[in-house]
Amino acid sequence: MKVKALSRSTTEFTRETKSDIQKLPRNIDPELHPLERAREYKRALNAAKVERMFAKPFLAGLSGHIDGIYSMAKNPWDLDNIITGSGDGELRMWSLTAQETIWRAPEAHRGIVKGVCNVPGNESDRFLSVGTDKTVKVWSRSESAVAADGTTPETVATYNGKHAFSGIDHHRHRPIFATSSSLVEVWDVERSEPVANLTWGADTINTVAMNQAEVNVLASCGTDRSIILYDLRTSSPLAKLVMALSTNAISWNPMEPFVFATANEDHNVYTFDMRRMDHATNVLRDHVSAVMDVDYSPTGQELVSGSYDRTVRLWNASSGHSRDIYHAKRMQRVFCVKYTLDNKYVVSGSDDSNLRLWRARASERVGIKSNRERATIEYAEKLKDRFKYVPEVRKVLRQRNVPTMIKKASQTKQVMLQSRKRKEENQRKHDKHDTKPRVPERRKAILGVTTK
Amino acid sequence: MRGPRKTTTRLPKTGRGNNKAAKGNVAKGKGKSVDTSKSQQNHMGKGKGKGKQRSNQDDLDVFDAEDSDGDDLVRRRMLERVAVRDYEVENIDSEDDEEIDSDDAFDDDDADRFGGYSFNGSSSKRPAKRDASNAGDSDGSDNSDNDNDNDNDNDSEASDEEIADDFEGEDSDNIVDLSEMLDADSGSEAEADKDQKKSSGKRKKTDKSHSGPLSPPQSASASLLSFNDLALSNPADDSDSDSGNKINGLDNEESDVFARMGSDSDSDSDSDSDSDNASEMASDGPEDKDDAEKLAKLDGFVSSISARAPKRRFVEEAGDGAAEDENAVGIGLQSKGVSLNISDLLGDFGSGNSNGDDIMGATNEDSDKEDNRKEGEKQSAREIRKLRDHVEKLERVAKKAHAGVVAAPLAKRLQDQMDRKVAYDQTKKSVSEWQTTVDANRAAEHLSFPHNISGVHNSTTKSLIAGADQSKSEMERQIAEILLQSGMSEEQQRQYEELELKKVSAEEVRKRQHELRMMRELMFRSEQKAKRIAKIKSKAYRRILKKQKLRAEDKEMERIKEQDPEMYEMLLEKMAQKRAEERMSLRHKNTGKWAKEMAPRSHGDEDTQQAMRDQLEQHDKLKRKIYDLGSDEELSDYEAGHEKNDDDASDSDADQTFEEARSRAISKLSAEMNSKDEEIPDDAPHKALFGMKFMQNAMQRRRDENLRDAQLMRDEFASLEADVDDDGRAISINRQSSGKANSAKAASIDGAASTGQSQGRMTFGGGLKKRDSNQKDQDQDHAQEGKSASNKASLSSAIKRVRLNEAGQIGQVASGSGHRVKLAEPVSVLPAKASSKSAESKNPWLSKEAGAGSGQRSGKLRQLDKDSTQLDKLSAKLRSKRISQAADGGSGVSGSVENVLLDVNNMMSLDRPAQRSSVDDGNEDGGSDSDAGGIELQHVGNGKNKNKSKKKQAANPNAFTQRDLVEQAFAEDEIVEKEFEAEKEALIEQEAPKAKDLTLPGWGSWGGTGIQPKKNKIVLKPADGEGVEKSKRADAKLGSVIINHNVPKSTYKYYSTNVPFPYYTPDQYEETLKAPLGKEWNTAKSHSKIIKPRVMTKAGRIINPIAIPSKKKQ
Repeated sequence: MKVKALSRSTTEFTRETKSDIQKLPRNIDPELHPLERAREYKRALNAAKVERMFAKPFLAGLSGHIDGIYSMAKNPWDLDNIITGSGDGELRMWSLTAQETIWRAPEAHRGIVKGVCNVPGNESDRFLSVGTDKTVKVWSRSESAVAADGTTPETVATYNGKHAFSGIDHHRHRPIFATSSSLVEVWDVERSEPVANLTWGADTINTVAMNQAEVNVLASCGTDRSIILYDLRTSSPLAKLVMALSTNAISWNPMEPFVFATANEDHNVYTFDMRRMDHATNVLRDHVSAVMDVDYSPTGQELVSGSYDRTVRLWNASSGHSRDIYHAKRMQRVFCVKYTLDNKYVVSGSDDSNLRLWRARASERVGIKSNRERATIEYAEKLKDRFKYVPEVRKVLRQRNVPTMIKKASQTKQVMLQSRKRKEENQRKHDKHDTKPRVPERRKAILGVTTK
Repeated sequence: MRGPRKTTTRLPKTGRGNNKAAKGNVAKGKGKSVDTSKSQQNHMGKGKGKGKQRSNQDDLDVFDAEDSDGDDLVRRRMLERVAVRDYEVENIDSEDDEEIDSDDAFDDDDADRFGGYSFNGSSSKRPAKRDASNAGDSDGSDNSDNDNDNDNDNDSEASDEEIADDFEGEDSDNIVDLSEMLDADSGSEAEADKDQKKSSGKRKKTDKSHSGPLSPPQSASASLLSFNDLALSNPADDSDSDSGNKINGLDNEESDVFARMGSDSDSDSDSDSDSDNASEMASDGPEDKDDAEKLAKLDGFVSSISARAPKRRFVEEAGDGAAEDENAVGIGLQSKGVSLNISDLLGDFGSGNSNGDDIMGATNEDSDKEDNRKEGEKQSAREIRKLRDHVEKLERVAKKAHAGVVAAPLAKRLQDQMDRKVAYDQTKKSVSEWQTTVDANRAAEHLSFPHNISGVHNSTTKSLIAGADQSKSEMERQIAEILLQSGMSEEQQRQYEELELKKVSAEEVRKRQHELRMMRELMFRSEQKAKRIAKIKSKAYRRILKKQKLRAEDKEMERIKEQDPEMYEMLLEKMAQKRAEERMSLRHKNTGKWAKEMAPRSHGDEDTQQAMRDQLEQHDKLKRKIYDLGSDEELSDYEAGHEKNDDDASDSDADQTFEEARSRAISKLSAEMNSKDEEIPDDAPHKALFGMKFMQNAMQRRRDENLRDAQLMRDEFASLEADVDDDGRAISINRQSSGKANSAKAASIDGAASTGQSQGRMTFGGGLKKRDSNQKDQDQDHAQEGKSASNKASLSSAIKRVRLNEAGQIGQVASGSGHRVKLAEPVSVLPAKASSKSAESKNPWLSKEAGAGSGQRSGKLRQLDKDSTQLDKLSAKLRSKRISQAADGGSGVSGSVENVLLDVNNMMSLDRPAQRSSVDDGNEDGGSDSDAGGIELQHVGNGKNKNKSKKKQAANPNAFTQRDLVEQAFAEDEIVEKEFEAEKEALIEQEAPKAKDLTLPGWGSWGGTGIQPKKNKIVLKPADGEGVEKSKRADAKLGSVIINHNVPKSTYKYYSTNVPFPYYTPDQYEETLKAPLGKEWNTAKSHSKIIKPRVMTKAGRIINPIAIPSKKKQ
């Protein structure tokens, strides 16, 4: 016989801890939840406001360099690691978590360090640097330990080039790296002479970037305003793209191997499909001065660019305008930016000798979140996205306080562009023979593509 | 040299191969005892060289005449000459010569090299090439002293060996070529001669080993035999110093080879094409004519070679210096596109040489010599093999050298360009392999990094499986294996479980079977029963059965009525609906389901009976309408069918029907008229309103009107009665057109008859004849005649006819050929007539004049169609009749608009009233234009014969002009415009700022005499921004637009100012905002699904660049 008794477990109605959340039954009867559009709109507005309230992108400024930081490399196998080279030839390795220098070579190069990169391989702790002193130096944290007196550690190897180097990048898998000077040279880490020379024309190359997905393809940009693609398999250049102004940096999309972005002198970032370079796939226009560096986020969805206008901008790779602008009071011209490999941070090196660490999403906070918290954030994101065209929300979301200089410059630029456009239109209007065809914005900056 | 020949004759490859193998064996066998020296080879070479110059018959004769002593010398010289003159090979050692001589030089595939080779002469010289070499040989031998007989023998043997090698050797073509050497021109002849040769060979054979198999022409032994025979037979001819001899000599040589082969390997009797060819070749021997020809060709060849010499030298120089001279030559030839190969040459010379030897050997004609030969044979074979190897080597070098010789390289710049282009294309291709992956990622709803292995998009299931397999560790694999072995795999377990589930007890099974059997039994029984019942033919039984069924149904209905009145209602409704449907579907013959159902129940039920009668009547009407009873064949069809179908009312006449309908209509009308008087007090509920005077007045007015109408209608009915009386049934059925009715009325028999014939149609145009006056009234005849008449009319004029129904709509369009097209919807073509006389049945949308001219009430104008009530139709009919009467009274023209058969040749022309001239009716009795009865239909095609009366026939035959149509389409536009304007005006007024009068009525306004009305009324002026000034309205100047100024501005902020980029219309954008995202409006699951972000990354996790396994290994 079963005896029934009125009994309630205390666990049913008491909270174990204070933070315990009591489950409430939820009724989704629409009668009980009227005015859904209005309510969600309000939530979206609030979310937008909250986002802006929490938007504190600047995390840390890492000081140590004496001169401006002109080259930077992230370790593809170590999230924490950033190597920077400065104008005075100093090389520093930083720990982003500790926010401090963990290795340094004060006089790594005579003159400016033009490029740094890691040697491929998980176990490899070697890295390379090139400078205007025509040397490639191989370093290792373990092998070339920093002396107590702070003198420059020994290099693992030093390779002499014929020209002052302007950039370096490494192969994804093999111990191969490419340097740029007046030509692109491909080196084996173990050999003192380049294994291949890739030339096309005689101009100075600004920088070289190896594709990390389609690993045998690399691109260089030169002072002759050209962007040249090479292939290691054929050891030959592939195609040359000449733009209206020269390109300062190239970044390959890690998730779309035939896509690369270029930081152009004309204030714009262009993305290209390497197979059809007669037009840019996207033109990202917001900077008000030359773009000095550009880097794809590891997801391939976003871009970060650093500009001579002292700002860092973040972009959706598919949209034409930046989604955010980062600037700091004392930040000078930005020469190098990198998206960290976990897609969460952005590092920028600028003329002011400081390395800056930013959040990739200004209002996002890392750390473990409860499901509810996460859900709330995601819901808010969705709401913002949904109502982003509604004036009020849009205004909140887009509002940025930028330095006066930037604001003025952008206004001036706007006026200039408009007047230029107007002028063109007027010319067109009074031109009998239609000599001024309308060129799409994506083709405007491109002078031509050739394999010849 | 063999190449071109090869092109002329092709042998099956397999045969050749076999031959090769067989002969290779032979050669090896022979190789053991060869004693011939290199010098012999040299001789041969020299002989060749010299042979160039001389191709004289005399020389040949000399050569033939056993002067083989100086062979060595001669040949050497010949070779030298060849080398020097042709190829500029200066320092040829004897050793080199040997190498050159060696037959392996034949190896190359001649076809390729010789493809482009042509001699100075014509193609006819081709066969001479071979001869040339032979001639050279002969020359050489000629020049040299004939001192050494033995040598000759040896030489011949050696050369034989060479040829044997040749056959055996690497070059498949050699065999062919050898065989074809001489038969290119006279191949057919040779074949014809073949048998003859063989027989001769039989006669003269000395070689016993080949005496046996002669008959099969394809057998090698046979051919060999023939060779031998030839060789032996030749000496007889040698003295003739004939070119034929020379060739015979060649043949001999070859035959020797074969003979030796045969002797060495007795079993070598492959039936080979080679041997065939050899035999063919041999067959050439005796033919002097052929030989002469060949000699001539040979001359040509020699000259051609000499002509080509300088070129070769050039080429040689260009070639690889390290290469042997021969090779260089070979290369040079190839590169020149001259497909001459040194090996070929050498081969030829060799063969030529041997030729000479052979000849000499043959002339000796000693059997002793055979032994010598055999001894030398072995030596030479060995030697030859050595040579062959050497030459092979040289060939290889030559080939290499050949490969090395390419066009001068392009300029580096150009080369780079090309390289880049190719490289770019390649890289593009390689990079494009990512496309699918990238596309998939771009289109993905969600991307999760770093776990989102993008390569997965691309990988096949197979690779996935493979990957899965790899991922297992050793232990896991072992466990999996054990599980599999022990039958614990998923699949096995599932099967087992299924089996378990299927298990049932025996009892259960038995029970189930029993049930099944029972079911089957019952089914069978019921089937049987049904069959039996179905067979019963008794009507009585059927009736009883039916009644039973009905009763059962009734009972059921009763039961339902009691138990479930709602259900009952529903069923009744259903029935009613069914009936309605039936009515709609024109099934009104009391044969429908409803009628059948109702038939037994209608006893005493007046309503039902009446309904059924109505149904029948309706059926008649509709039928009439459909088939347009006026018409000919269809009428008869209809009537026949009607009578057939109507069992119960088989004698029901159209007369009766009409009578019935008429009487009923009249009674109804009168009833209505009566009832109308008493109607007023019935409006009890509206008493208050309707009690008012103006209302009553209005009602009275309306009633009066109705009464008048009814009266009119009744009168018409009454008048119709007379018609019926006069005109008989035809009229009553056909609703005779008034003109005809009138004519009938006037007791004109002719007219009546014609009416009967034409079935109420008004026919335009010729072909319609007057009918006999004694036309019968019988339906059948009547129909037939109508038919014939119409046929005549239609056939004679080949016209199209348009039939109009009473409402002026085109019911049918009939073409003259008898096709009748029924229009899906009646098209109105009946315009209001211009004259007021017959303007009764006007069509409101067709003309304005009509509206003006007719005194008819527009409210009464209705187009009749299926949906029109009976009363309407009846009245319309009457009206039309009345109209026609009126018209008739005026002019005597049949202005009927009811059933008019119009002749329209290509199109129907319906003139606008202004344009229209006249109707020329069938009777041609209508004179005046105004009698058109509202329709103007022109007969265009055959207009001449009929339309004489037309005065102002319209130029445009189009019935509906564009203007008409536009007029129709925008008929009521003005009204709409006015309405809109009024509306706008009202709105403007309403929204205009208004002053408010706050004066309270009564307050401060005292009554009484002498009191001034209050002046200062309290009026509140409109506040700023309140209302919209008329002039300030946004739509002030926009005529056809009303802009709403009442939108609350506070809501603006909720609207996007424009449609955002990816969307094209506001609706699209709105669509995205429709469904709320929150968890208040979604289930937990869908909510979490909705809010899932597109790109998810994890903090602290490195996201590596995209990589797929195939791409990784680069």
